[in-house]
Amino acid sequence: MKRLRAALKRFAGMFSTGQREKEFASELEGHLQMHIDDNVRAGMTAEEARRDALLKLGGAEQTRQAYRERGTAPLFETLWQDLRFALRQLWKNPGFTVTAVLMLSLGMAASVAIFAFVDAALLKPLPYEDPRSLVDVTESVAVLPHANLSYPDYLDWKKMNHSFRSLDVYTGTGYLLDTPSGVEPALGLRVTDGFFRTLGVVPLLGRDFYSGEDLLSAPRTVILSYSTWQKRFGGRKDIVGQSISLSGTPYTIAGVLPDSFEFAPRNTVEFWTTMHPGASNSCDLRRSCHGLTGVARLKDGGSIAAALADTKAIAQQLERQYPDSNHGPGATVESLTDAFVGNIRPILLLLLAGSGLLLLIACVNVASLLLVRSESRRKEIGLRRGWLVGLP
Amino acid sequence: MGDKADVWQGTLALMVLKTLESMGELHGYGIARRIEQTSGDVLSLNYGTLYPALLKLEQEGAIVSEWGVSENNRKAKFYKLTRVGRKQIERETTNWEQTTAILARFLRGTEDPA
Repeated sequence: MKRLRAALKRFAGMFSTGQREKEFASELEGHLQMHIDDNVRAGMTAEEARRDALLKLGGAEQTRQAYRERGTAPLFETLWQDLRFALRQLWKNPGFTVTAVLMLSLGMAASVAIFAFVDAALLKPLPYEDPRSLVDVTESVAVLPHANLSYPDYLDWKKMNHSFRSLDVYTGTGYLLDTPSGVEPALGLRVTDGFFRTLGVVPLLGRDFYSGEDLLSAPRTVILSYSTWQKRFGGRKDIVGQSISLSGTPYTIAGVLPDSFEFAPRNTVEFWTTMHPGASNSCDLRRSCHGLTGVARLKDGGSIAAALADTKAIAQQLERQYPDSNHGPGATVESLTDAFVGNIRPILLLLLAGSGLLLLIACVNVASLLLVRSESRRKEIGLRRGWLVGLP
Repeated sequence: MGDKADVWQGTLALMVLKTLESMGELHGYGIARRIEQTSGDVLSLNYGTLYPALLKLEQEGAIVSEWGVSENNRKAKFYKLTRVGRKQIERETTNWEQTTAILARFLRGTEDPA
């Protein structure tokens, strides 16, 4: 605290050097006068008195110098001088300046851009509650490690598993939307009732889907994405409870998702509706029709490996039970982050290394440019040095 | 002159503060004379070194200064202790007492290795 205060004062002192030195000059003058007065009173001549006072002081100029150094921050002062010198040099050599600045900015911009990707994809956690316990759950067959689930299989998995606190599925869909400028296609996602609860996402406005709201018998409801709410409905707060028509079917708006909500595999989805199995097509009712992706939250302390063994056992049991529809049983359970980021991790790391190398090359280039310039400045530096030691 | 002790690094600040504590407001020259007197004229103090030390203490907030007129009508800057300065005296006094006590024990120890 004390040091910080002193450092700040010294830094500020850089900008009031003249005033402080003038003040010190008169302080020193007063000091010498008082000392001379005392000496004269003690019996010295005026000349002796003055000499003695200066001697005891240790030299007026030395004192002024020591005072000056304490008053400012010498390091910063020389730094400031160097900086001004550098700027002057750059200003006088626009060609060099432009080349160096371009090269460095290119190197830095590339690194920053790639790092932004890496940060978003690899470093930041997914924007859900406790994302580490979230997993992506699918069936698997020999040719396809991520084979979609069928709805009847999903129901059995949900019922029989011992690993998940909750298991939900989603599947993409498209809707036709009546707008003032005509009919427009819009992307939708059909989810099971607990989808948002599994992710730990709470709607910004309105409510989440009720338990059982995804069944065929339930009234149809929809949750809007934030951007759709803003873009299509002007961000009106009274939108909840109103009815809209999706592909000719009326839906009641149940809620609006927060702006921060993202769902990387389907980020352009505008309308989040519930499964309603069998309403629009018969696929949902057939065990052999696979179209769903699962997302689950592991039980506290549960591991992905245990969940995988658990789901594989269920898949095998279902194969025995339904030999006609379930062939080549298997399951894939992996962390949701891995499922989202998937195989771009090595590519991103490679890109990051590449951009780092680019920056390094840019630095080396600028360094060699400086080297060339220092060679051509040899004469000037010789002159400056000579000047310093007082040669003509 | 040659027999006099030099002022150790770091002790000057405490001497200045203690002087101001006992004397109240005082100018630089006065502080210098007072330190010499208090030391029984054993210390050789370069008066010039006092001023950067005063500036440092002022930057740290331990003292404040004000222009005034000396007893024999010379314009002089007077220094005064602040609350921060009083705290610093307390702290550094304790430090010095500890240091000297420890050192004293060592010195005694070499004389009497019992």
